[in-house]
Amino acid sequence: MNSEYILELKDLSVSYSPDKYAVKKVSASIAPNIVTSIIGPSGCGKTTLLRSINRLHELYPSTQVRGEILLKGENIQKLPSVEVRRRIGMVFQQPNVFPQMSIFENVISGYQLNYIVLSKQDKMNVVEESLVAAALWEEVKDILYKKPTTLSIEQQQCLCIARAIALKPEILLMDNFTFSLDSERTDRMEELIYQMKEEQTIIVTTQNLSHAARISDYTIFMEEGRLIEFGVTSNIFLKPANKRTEQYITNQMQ
Amino acid sequence: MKSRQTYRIWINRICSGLVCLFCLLALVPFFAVVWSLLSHGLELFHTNLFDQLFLNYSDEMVRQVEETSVSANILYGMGGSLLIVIIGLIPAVPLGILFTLYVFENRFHGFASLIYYLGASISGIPSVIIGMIAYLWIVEPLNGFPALAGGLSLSIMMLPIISHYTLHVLNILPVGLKESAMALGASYTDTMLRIVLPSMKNGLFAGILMTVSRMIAQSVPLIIIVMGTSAIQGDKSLSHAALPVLIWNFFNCPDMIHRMWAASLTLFLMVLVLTVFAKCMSYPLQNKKRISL
Repeated sequence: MNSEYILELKDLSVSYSPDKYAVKKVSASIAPNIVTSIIGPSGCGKTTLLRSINRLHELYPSTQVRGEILLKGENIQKLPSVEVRRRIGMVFQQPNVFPQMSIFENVISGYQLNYIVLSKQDKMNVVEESLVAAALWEEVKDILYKKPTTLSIEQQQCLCIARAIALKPEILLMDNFTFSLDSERTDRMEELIYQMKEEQTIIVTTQNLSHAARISDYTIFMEEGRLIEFGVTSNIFLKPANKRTEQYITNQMQ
Repeated sequence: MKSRQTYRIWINRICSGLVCLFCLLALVPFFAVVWSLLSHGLELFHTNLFDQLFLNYSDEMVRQVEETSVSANILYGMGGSLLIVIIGLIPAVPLGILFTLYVFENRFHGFASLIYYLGASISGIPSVIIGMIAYLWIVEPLNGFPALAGGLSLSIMMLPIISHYTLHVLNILPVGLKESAMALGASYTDTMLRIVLPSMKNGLFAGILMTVSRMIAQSVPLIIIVMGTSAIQGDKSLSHAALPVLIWNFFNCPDMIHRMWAASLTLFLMVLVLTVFAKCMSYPLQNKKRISL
């Protein structure tokens, strides 16, 4: 089944405990090769929505999902969770490098964990491409076989981004990923996202509205688990259709 | 206002003094044991401690049990103790780690909590009962194998300790580690075996060393097995093959009492070295955060 959208959310509701929904009836369609930001106050369900897209919310017990998520027209609930997560990568708020592996092994860990065998040259190419894309190559090219725990938190976050993009996922989810980065590196990440969207569809959650305005093509505004407004970023920020969106953006920008 | 401040300063000083005093009092038993061991054991340490001597029992009951003499070489004791602990570790380490992983991963289910508390309750069983059970399970039906029975009894006693340390390491492991691996498309089994367990390596190794240091000095279950084996089967192979049992044997020979102190000092030093080594291992580099074992 072909679809012009890479990802479609249809009446999606997610709850962590019975009848207490963190995400309520969210519907949105996301086209390929664009950046979408999810904004909203703390606890509005941004992260839950993001985690339900790659079925990571299933790691918590007694989660309930209603509605559908379609990845290129296929219902992700009917696909193996392992395949869904391989096709939809994720970068978390806090960097979580694998401490027992070297920087090199961390980058190709996605291939190793999925039993995808690469030749020595291919491994090196993947590592170099991913680290260059994550703006970390220059800093780590001489210490590729050292443990990543020697890196700064910001460098570790870049390594996690490199690890996620090494597998070339169709969609990359980034959960408030600039939280651990300083302003200089955040700027570099914004450039990186701009380049990455040529190959990937990116969905980010962020508390930083100016960051969302700069990087995203489309923006979703959420409040209390509900999708309040979804549209082109410039419209959401300059001419919001909903009063609550306008109120939130005005308050946050002041 | 000033008098109130002075009053609070004095109360603070008195309380700090009391805390320091009780800390020192808590250390008295430790230093008393160390002093006894050093004062009695050190002077004999240079003598021919590793010579092949034989014990002569004065105690009538023990003499009846131990009809023939037993080697007094403490090298045998050290090697034997290590062997019995290793026999114990072989089943206890994988079982303890896998049991705790299961409990940790299913911590929201009542059944997992129930079996964790049942497992932890093993530590409340008196070691004399565990010694008797190991004797009845191994020595009686197989007509021998006291070292195996000793290893089994230690293995049962190790389970809750290994489980405790494993749970401790799992609790300090970043939650995102497992999620990061699963977000890359790793299966649950691969995540646990290839990411979570290797990340726990340092902490687990430290926990195992701490378990060994606690178990190597265990005497009661081994003595029960030795008594049973010697009295009923006439097998004395374990009588000299574990340091705690050897110390007990020395204690029963009036002319060997000096060796008891030297052997006790040796055992104490073994435990001390293992404990210090385990403490050094418990600084996981990945978090720069100390696991207090």
